[in-house]
Amino acid sequence: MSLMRYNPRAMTPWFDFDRFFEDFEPGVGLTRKAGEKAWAPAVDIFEDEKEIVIKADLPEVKEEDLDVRVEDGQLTLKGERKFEHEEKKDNYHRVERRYGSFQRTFGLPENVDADHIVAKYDKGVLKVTLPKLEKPKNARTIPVK
Amino acid sequence: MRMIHTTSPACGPRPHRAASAWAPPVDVLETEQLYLLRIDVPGVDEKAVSVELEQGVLRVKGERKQAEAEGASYKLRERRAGAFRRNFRLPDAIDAEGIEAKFDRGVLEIRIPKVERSRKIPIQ
Repeated sequence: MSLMRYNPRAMTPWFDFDRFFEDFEPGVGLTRKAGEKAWAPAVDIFEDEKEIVIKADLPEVKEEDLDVRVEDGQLTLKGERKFEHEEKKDNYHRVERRYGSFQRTFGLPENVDADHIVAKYDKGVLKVTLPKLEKPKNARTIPVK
Repeated sequence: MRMIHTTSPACGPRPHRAASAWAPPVDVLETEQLYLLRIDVPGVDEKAVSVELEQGVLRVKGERKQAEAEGASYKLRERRAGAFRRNFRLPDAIDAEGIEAKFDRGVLEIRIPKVERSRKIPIQ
C-alpha cells in the first residue's frame, strides 16, 4: 500500500457512501429513526377489478412471528424480526437491517371481502390478497314501484 | 489493515437518482474464521443476482422485478424495484476461492473465509 494522506472518515471500516447520502433524503428517514419503537416495513399496494394486493418486505421473518389481522375495517400487519444469529453483537462491523417489532395498519375500503383475505409468505415478502365483493356490503337494489 | 469498505457506485451529487441502482441494507460481521455479509433482498429471484470478486472488490448486483398483472394500478409504492448494487472492498487476507453465497427468506448471505496472513517460519 502506498503512502496516503490520513483521512479519518475514509479509514473507518464500513463507512458507507450510499447510506451517507440516503440519510438526508426525505422519506427514507421517516422509517429509519433511531430509537423508534416499531419499524415500518416497505409496502406496495395495487389493485385491479377483482382484488387489492398488499406486499410487504419482511426478510428473514418467520411465519410464526407474523400477525395479519382485520379489525374494525382495518388491516394490521405486525410482528417481530428477531435478532437470532448466534454471533456476538460486538463482532458486527455494520448493522443496517432493522430488527425488533414492526407494524403497519391500513384502512380497508367498503367493498373488501374480509372473510376471504389470504396471506402468503415467500422469499421474504408477505403478500396479502384482499378480494373485492361484487357489490358493496351495504348496497341494495331498491325496486321502483 | 483489516477492513471492508463499502464503495459507492456513484459518489457525490447524483442528479438522476431515480434511474440509479438502489442499495439493499446489509449487516457485516466478522468471526475468527470468516467475514459474513447478510443482505436484505426480499422478493428477489436467486437467478437475478450475481456476486463477483474483482481486484479485491466484491460486487453484488441484481434486479428486483415488479411484474404485476396488467390493468392493476398502484395505490402505494414504497418497495424499491429495478437494479440494485452493493460493492465491498475486501481485506487482503481472504480466501477468494472459498467464498460462498446462499439465499434464504429474502436474505443473501455471503461467507468469506479468512486466511492466515502471517506464517511462522521455522528456524532450522
